[in-house]
Amino acid sequence: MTGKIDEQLSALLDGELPVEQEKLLLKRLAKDADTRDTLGRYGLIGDLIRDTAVMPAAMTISDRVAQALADEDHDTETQNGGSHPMSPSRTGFVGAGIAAAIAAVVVLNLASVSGASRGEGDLQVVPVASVAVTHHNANHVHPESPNSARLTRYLVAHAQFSNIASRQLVDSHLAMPVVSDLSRQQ
Amino acid sequence: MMRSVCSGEAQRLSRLVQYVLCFLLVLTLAASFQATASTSSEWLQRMSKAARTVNYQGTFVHMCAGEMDVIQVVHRVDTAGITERITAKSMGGRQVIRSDDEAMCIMPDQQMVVVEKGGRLSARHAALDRFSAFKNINAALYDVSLNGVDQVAEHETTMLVITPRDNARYGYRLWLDQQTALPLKFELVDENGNGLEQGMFTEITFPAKISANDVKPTIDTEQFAWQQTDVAGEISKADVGRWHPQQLPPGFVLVFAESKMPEGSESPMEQLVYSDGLATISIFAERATEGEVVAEGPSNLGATNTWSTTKEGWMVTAMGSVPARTIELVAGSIASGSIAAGSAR
Repeated sequence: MTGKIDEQLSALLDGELPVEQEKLLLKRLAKDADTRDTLGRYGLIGDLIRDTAVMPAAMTISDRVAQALADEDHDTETQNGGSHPMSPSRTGFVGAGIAAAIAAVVVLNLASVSGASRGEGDLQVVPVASVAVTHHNANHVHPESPNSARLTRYLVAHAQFSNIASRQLVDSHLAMPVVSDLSRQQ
Repeated sequence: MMRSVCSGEAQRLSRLVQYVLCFLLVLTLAASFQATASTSSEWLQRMSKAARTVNYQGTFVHMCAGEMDVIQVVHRVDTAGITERITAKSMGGRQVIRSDDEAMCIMPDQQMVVVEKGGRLSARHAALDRFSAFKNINAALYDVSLNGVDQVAEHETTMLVITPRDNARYGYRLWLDQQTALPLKFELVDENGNGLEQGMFTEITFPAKISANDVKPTIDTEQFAWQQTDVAGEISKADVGRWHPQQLPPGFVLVFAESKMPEGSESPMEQLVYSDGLATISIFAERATEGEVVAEGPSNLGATNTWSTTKEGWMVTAMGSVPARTIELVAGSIASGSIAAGSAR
């Protein structure tokens, strides 16, 4: 890992990386697990790792990065149905433009869940038995589980309100197509 | 000679007038700057208006729980309102085209387009507008402060820190573009200041004009199946809500209630939404189907915590982007009874 890459990763998280360099870095992220791990040590991921309430399994940058770039390159596999695991944490967020983006992430990701529910990936919904709230003890629920499907549906419905910025510009209905889509999978 | 003197005085006067005008202009600009950007609350006010007044397009990166998504956003404002095109670089290149009264989700991986428009949108928008806006953030619940300047996506930003005054909710860090007040970066942080979720534009521009063509779909949908979702009108709060929390953190009030029939379901799903103006907690209730095993207890969906339980044949779930202990408190207090609309307990 070169110092240059470190600098670029830091700049990426700071939003200061020029567009062209960002594209190159994303491609590198897709191919280089070490780079992804390094990114994971920066910024939020680093915070998450230090946070005891974080699932160990979530400590590295997802292979979604690779998938994202593969999609960009018209990878045919992705045309066959959302092999991405759900990224379930599409919580509320404050702000205007970002809010719309977050809403889209909710919608687009949850739409992918319907693909995942066909058995192509794990849904990262982690109900725990009625014990203390520690994510370490969380159990993964298979995406075909009615419970996980229900929680996903709730998440979509909740996301419409969970975002303060939605008062200004996030269309709550964005998620509805996903709900319909998801319901058909049940 | 007289003409010359007069001419000289006129020039001096003219210069003086120019100086005075310049000074007044500087004062005006300074006052204007003070009026628009001097305090955190004024920044919030500006931010609230930004999205409805500013064109922008850029690349947005969202990170949470070790996952990263990259999407492209084109946001167009004109006299008819907002139109936006959001394209995922992942997820099969899905695209959302939305305006104030319609949303279209194009899913190439499923060869499908889903469109929704109509009354339910209006009802929700009205509720959302009513209950909270950043500009009305409750100072008794959150401290809002400025925290210097920073650079995001090659733009100068002012950093805003929103810190809850108790441990029942999360805080935020926002980076607002100094020219437009649009948030370019955010972090959701827990009570210890640890980041739970982060999103930012890695590249953004603010064109004076964005063409209508730039917010049209770029995916050929001719062979896709089209589906238009049902439209429903507003449902009175009094019509729904069998299950209600008996305990809520300070500041949370009921802001929305809805009962709807999910597609493929035989029983309605009820949702109550409580908000403190920034954080929200939803209560969901559905009839359990016969023989269904319900996972009870806490769950986490990234930064969103949930707690599910069963009561008298109903599945009841509390969900919110608040600490787990808050959700546990709320969920543990849910009981059947009359709705307490608009009142904090």
